[in-house]
Amino acid sequence: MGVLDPVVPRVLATRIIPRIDRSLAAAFGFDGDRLNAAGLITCDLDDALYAALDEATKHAGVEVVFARSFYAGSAHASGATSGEILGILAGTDPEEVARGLGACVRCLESEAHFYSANADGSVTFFPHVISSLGHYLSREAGLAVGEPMAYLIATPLESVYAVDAALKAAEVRLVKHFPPPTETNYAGAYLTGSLEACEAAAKAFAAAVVEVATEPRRPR
Amino acid sequence: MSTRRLMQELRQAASRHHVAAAPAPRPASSAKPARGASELERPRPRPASDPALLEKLKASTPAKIGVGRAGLRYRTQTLLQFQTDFAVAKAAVESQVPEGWAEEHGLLPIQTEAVDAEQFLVRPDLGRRLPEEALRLVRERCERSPDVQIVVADGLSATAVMQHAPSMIASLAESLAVHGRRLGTGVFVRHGRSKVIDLVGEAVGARVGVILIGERPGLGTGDGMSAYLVWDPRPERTDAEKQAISNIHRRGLSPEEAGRHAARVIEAIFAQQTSGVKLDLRGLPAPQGRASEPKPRVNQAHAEPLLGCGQSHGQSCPQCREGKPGRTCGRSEGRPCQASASA
Repeated sequence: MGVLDPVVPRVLATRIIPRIDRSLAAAFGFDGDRLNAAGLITCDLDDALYAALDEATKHAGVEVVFARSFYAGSAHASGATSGEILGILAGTDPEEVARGLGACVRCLESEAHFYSANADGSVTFFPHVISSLGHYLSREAGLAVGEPMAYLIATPLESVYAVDAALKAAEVRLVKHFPPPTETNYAGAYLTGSLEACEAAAKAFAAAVVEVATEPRRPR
Repeated sequence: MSTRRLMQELRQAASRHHVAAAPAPRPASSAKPARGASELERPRPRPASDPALLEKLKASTPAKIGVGRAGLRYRTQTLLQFQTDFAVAKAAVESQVPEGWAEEHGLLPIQTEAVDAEQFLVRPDLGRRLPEEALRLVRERCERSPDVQIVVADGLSATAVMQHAPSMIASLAESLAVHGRRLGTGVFVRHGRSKVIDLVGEAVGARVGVILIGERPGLGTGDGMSAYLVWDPRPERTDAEKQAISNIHRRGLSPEEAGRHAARVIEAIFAQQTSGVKLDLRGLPAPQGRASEPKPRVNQAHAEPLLGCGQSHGQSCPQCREGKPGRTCGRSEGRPCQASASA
């Protein structure tokens, strides 16, 4: 693996529940009478799935009713199918949920990738630009549906150093910050601005992460 | 521009400068490829494990089972069948027993406190009450203290009682005669509900009351009739004290068999001097099943004349063209039936 090679997320398990039990739905905080069907997905890269779940809301009549990262990340997962995140989509019928899961998987396969920050792939990061937010991340970020956003995640020190670089590189503003420690001990931020500004910010972020990862201890 | 292109640009720029070695061609993910999107979306075919059994089940009921679907919706054929069945149900509710029908069948006609069909539908309480003049008429004209008092009420399907009540009464009378039971003067109650049997039964002092009433139509049955049997009819009798014989129609319990079965139940009522939930019918043979062969599906469900003209004809009914030789349909002769009136 070389620097800036994509790290493609692996979908580990998926299931569709055509008609979810109402009490279980209520436990997840959604109305099982209205949203009958649920789609479950686990993936070995949490931020990739958060972005892909958001993408799904643009392709099908589904809502993200649950999405949480697991502690310590996929290298320390509880099982081969656990990965580091469980996402749950819910919709009014199984067909919609299947379409939503399909869009989610497509996004993971083609777009929502991590990247390697050094030559051996021992440091990875997520410099993801979303040109148009879906219903899920717009809610999480407090932005309007359709707005562009840079979803920038990296290892702890890199994240701070690189988010600063990103904010200085373009007309973007910090929307939400995720300081370490987190469940997976990655950290980062949501930035927004024009699409071009988000792209420039993501590039600056990536360059800064790579800079640290390839030369962690810089003599002063 | 996708993030992937952005990173590609960055990588190319980096390789031109000092950062790291030129990257190798991107290795394919070493893991087994993720389950493809198309695989998830493809609807999984779920063939019936036993198609012959499914066909048998489908043939056993007019209910719409195993009808399939088109996307998320019913198929056109199913939708049309729903609309047809609903129209039949509505027509049955709106059907009326014509003037003169009761007299033709030897019944004394009276009416509840509901002044017309519309009020009967919106004021169910009025359908339970009989005006004093109606009760006076019953006391004057009906035989007093009979063993069994029969009342026919239109209920929610006049079609049903017109089609089935005469045959059931004939069969019931024949069976009761065998046991030497004295049958009272039959009464027809317009806009009546099952409660009126208690009022009429008390007025004549009957030991057992029987009411034949048009059932609330469902999808697939607009012509179902029920019989409720009650020991010592009095206004304070509850529904729990009434014995029901339901689904009397040509595709369910035939009116003739229903009459014979009702006679057996009446004998049990006399023997135990109670009716309804307290009545023990365990010694009784079950009624003899279906009226006819299992009914065919789809559109033939109502091939029989639901809205016919109320009489048996030696030939096709001149009024409605619905009547078939030897069958009874829903209206008296000389009067246009709904089918021909709306045609």
